[in-house]
Amino acid sequence: MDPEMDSQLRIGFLGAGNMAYGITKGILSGNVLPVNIKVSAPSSRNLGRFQELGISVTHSNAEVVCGSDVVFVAVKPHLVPPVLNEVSPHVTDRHVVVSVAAGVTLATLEELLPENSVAIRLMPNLPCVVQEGALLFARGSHAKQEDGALLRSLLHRCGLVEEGPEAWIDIHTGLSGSGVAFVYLFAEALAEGAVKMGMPSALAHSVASQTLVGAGRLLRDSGKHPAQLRSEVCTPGGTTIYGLHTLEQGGVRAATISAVESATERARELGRRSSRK
Amino acid sequence: MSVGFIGAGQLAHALVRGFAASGVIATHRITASSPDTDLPTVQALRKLGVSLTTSNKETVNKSDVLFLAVKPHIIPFVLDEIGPDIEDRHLIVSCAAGVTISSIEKKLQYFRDSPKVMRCMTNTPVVVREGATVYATGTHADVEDGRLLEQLMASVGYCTEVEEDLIDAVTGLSGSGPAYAFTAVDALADGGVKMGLPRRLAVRLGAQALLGAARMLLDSEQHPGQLKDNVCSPGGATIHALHVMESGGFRSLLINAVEASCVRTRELQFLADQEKISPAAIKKTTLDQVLQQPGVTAEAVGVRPRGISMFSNAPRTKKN
Repeated sequence: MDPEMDSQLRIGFLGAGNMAYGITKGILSGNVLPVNIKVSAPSSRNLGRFQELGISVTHSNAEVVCGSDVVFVAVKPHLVPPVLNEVSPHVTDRHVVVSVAAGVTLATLEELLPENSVAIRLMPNLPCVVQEGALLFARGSHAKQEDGALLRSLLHRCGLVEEGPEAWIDIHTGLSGSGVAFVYLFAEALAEGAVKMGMPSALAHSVASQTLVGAGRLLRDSGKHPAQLRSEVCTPGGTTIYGLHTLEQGGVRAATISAVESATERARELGRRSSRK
Repeated sequence: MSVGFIGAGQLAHALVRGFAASGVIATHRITASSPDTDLPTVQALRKLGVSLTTSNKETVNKSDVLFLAVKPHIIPFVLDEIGPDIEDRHLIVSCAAGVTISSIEKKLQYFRDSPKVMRCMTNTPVVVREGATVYATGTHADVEDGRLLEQLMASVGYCTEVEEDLIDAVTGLSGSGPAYAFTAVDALADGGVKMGLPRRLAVRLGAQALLGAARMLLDSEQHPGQLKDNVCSPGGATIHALHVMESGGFRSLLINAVEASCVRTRELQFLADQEKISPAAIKKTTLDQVLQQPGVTAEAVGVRPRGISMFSNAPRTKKN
């Protein structure tokens, strides 16, 4: 993407929560200047940390929309309809509206926005706040490839950015939105195992989290299949294969597959429910 | 080179069929002995052109490479019997699960200073030349002996040398492995039948699926996990089935099976090392038939009224 273009792009955020903050941090590591970002929220509670970055803040959603080319809708899902109703008069066909609201479909967004609006649905995840997010976006009916490319280039510092059909967004929610929590559960259990075997808790937790980070980086950066990496760690008759056997006996794989399945199903259901309103 | 088999059961039969198919040795150069001439495998071996005899001594005398293809608890009994007839040229290859090289050498050293002993673990698919064989080399066997055995066994499948202490694990994996596969194909076929396939077709397709997958894996550099992924299209039939398998603990079941087989092999070895065998472990008729062989005495085979000691206490003279 053309860095020149990036630096002149004006980005707006409706909502000042964690997701908005995380994406902002990512955008700022690219070519966008703080002066070109604007954030709105009803209360000043969350606006402080944006101001610290040199970003202008406001209580007016309309002001953000009018002053932006790309608008992130980062309010809670149930607030999306009232907020979009409020700003619709100011949305033109040169705006790119990116919603990060869980369960709010492109159909709903396009219904709430003026005809021919460019809408994109984005599902980020929590580690965006440390620029290690996994983000999946789906383009609405009037969003062109270039709009997708623009979003990709804006977000690439937030983590992994991929595009897919809208049907994948619920799966992405189950896998990496909720997946983050699954990993935390695993980390906690690893630490507890160590505590059971005699290690102090604080050390166990710190080692467990570093183990996850290290293993995660190796997995991402090696390009190898996780099964291959697993095999490489398992020396014959060693400690790892014994531990893995116990995990297999506990049906961890099946439980994990089921967890992603449950979370995905729930995302789909929530999506259906909010479409019906 | 001549090959002999002490024991003419499933293992001898499978190996001979494989050797015959590969042409690595002519069957008329093979001798096999068994006290029980009624075994179906005995008839089958005869048909293949193998010389059959009831005398283990005769087999020993006619062979250079001697396979011990009897059940593990019979081994010491056999060694006592044939010990006096072992010559320098003999390469003794034990195929008995759980019987250590050192226990065989210890036995034979009553008769000979430097018996050449090897131990191998193979499996039944040698019969179709797709065996999996490992071998360990004894104290007095040298590299050429290893090569000779490897040449024979590589003609009927995969063959490689290993450290002896890995052989129990090999038993658990590829020794018992074909049984796991037969069970799997049987069950897969049941699944096919349940869903409407005729049984014969289901068995054929199940076996072919396993065969094909194994061939792909052996020919590929890729991890089986990767090959599995390649078959699973998103949201498709296969991934649904795999989830069912994982939920049933498929993987851990297989790990457990290999472990159980390996542990049992070690147990059998331990029992063997206890140096006791109950008369109940040997058929009276078998024992009688052996004792009727020329040159075999009751003392020589360590027969006692209350049980047969695996390592005979009778004084014996060393053969020159």
